[in-house]
Amino acid sequence: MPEHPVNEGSLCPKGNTTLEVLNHPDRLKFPLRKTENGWERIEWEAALDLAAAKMKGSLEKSGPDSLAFLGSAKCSNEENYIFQKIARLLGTNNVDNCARLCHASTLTGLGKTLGTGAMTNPISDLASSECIFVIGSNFAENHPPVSRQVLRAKEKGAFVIVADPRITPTSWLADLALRLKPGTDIALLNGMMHVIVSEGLWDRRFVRERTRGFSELEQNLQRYDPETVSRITGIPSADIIKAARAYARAGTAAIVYSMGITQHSSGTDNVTACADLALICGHIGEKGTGILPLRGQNNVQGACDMGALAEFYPGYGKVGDPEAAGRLQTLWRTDELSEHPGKTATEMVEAAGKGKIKTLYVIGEDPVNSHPDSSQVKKALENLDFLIVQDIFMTDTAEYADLILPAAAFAEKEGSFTSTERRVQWVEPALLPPGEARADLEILFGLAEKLGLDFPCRGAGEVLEEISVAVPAYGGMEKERMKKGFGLVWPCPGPAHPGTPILHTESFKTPDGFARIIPVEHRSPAETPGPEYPFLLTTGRTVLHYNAGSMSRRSKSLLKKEPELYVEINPADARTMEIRDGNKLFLETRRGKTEATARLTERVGQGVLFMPFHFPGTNALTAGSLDREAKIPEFKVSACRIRRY
Amino acid sequence: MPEAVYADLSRCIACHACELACERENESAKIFVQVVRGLAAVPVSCRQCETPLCAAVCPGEALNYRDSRLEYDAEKCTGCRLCVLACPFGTAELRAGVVERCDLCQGKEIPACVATCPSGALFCAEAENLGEDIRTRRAERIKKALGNPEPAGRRVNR
Repeated sequence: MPEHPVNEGSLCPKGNTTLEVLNHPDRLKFPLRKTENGWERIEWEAALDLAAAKMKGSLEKSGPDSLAFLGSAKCSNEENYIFQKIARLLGTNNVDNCARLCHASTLTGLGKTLGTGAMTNPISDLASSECIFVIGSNFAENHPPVSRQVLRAKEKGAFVIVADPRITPTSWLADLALRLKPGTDIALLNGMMHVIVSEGLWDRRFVRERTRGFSELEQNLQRYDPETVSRITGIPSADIIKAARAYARAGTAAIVYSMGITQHSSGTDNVTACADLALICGHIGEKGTGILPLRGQNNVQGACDMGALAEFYPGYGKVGDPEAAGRLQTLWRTDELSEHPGKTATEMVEAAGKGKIKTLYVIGEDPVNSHPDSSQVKKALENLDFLIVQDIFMTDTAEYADLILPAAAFAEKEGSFTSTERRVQWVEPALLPPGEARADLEILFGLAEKLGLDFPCRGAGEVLEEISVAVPAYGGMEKERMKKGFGLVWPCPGPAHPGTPILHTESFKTPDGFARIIPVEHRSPAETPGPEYPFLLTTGRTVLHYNAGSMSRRSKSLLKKEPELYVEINPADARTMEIRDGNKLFLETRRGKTEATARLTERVGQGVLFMPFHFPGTNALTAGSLDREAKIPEFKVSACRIRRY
Repeated sequence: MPEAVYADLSRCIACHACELACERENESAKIFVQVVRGLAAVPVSCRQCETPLCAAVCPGEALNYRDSRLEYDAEKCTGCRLCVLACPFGTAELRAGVVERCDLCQGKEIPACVATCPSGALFCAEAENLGEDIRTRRAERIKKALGNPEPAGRRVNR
């Protein structure tokens, strides 16, 4: 569709091969129960009875918090909404989604500074930016269509800065590439702010009229002079000054960030520092001017908006806030909702390991490969009384399940999805699901009935009607409205409201309308290389695969181009260890070990290793150290040692 | 000279979407993205040469150039691969006894690789216009930069 405002008819490699995945013979077609003799095909009726009986059993024996629900950011808004409704009506807030592993720190960091943890501007706005500062995002590989907007801006003369420890196709587009040491983002951001404040480049009027907290920041910045920051980050001080001046002086400027910022034990502080930088320069609330956290999956934003989060109800009412709970109780016609926040995705696994969670219900997620420290995850799953996995393929996590429910994929069902730029779009089914696979929504309603929950089975359009009441920002979202054109951008509070592509134009979503400038300090990552584990291992994505790989590793043309787990190593490091391109390497961290093929490249600096997480093995190495506010794991930094196989 | 698919090398991000789109539409890819040391990428496909060397060297006259079109007769092909060696761009490929060559997705409005390219690096053009197109685009860029009273990177502090 060349007229689509986001991709303009283009597709990334995964988009081009999606039919190979959807039509793959491995698709799950029937409900399966694990028996002593392996998997046994059962009828849907029996499968739902079994799931409901096991959940009720845990509920009666060990209380509601012995249940946990891990939802999917690949499922629709309606499905996520009903999923968390089931969990909460059963009396637990143990419901979460994989946003915990990618953008939980955006919710906390942007939430406390701007009032809303979401992208402030649409992607197409980047074409109007005079300066684009990219930090911890490799959009050329992970969100390829974003490149066309950045290139459009460059054609108009925009200055592009890319801060990344690696040289990536995104840094090929940069006018200034800052190659920082992993885990030193706050130092860089504070260093840039130090330059901006000391050279008087900050926006006095914006800071005075729209923000609070500047003087505390000014104090905190004193220690971050360019020379000090250069020593911490490894970036020449002249480049720090150049970046600061270009960003502050631009008429319109955008910050683009992603998991290089969020997936750290300082994730919330990293995001806060990005917000501080934008706020002191007044770079928020106009076309081409804002903060753009790029989300990974098709419905990460939506799954969070729907309240598939341990600490938030639909629409971000805080769990524990009696007013938010009251609203929901009226809508759901129930007397009580649990008042204490539930366990997050990572905490669920930990609690399962300790035997506190008995029954886990996982939809469209593969924690064995996507969570840090795989060996602990496997132990925890084995420790469960009952594991239900609802997916389109037999994932490595599904192998641990007691019951498997086959689901329809995105093209085989209807519902709404909220993209990274808050654009809510309606999807119509184009294909039939294979075998007896059913839409997730249908499965959830079937299960709710078996659980004796008092809500009737409805179509996605009717569920959306309930959502428009529960989530104020979705007030004007209607199926028929969305089907015209290309969806609606929230907040869209009423049926006549056109939607809001740009946030914070007049005031911020904080209680008093002022943004908060909050000083943050650079801290070393939870683990740093030492004599025993001398390399710094960082993880990320490659253009040819998608997330934990359960889908993209089933595309034969993608697999042909990127067939196996590899590790990038700088040629200078390889030389001293007599490692050649293509050698099998043995990698080890304090958590586990894995094998990978060496790829010699100057894309990584000396002392740094990079591995994609699309293949089993990578997350056997990563650590479970969490950001204290967002509970996001530090996937980006582990101390590692290697030897030739 | 007929149209061919060209790439603006400053825009290519090495995502390989063109190869996969071509593979989907034409069973095997006829465009190739060569990544140089992980630091740059060059997509190449058939240049639609006016005097195609692939046809010129064909001993069995399996490849013939007529009316601006290259025709291939599988009956006469011996599989000697001289055409593959002769192509200066390495874009002629012999797969399963058939010489495969980009036909610009005959029957489609635009070739699949051009339509899918996320960064807008690929475009279809006639070779004669190529130089002028680039000159025009560059000139427009300079005009924009000069014509702006407050060029990028300059803001009067409020």
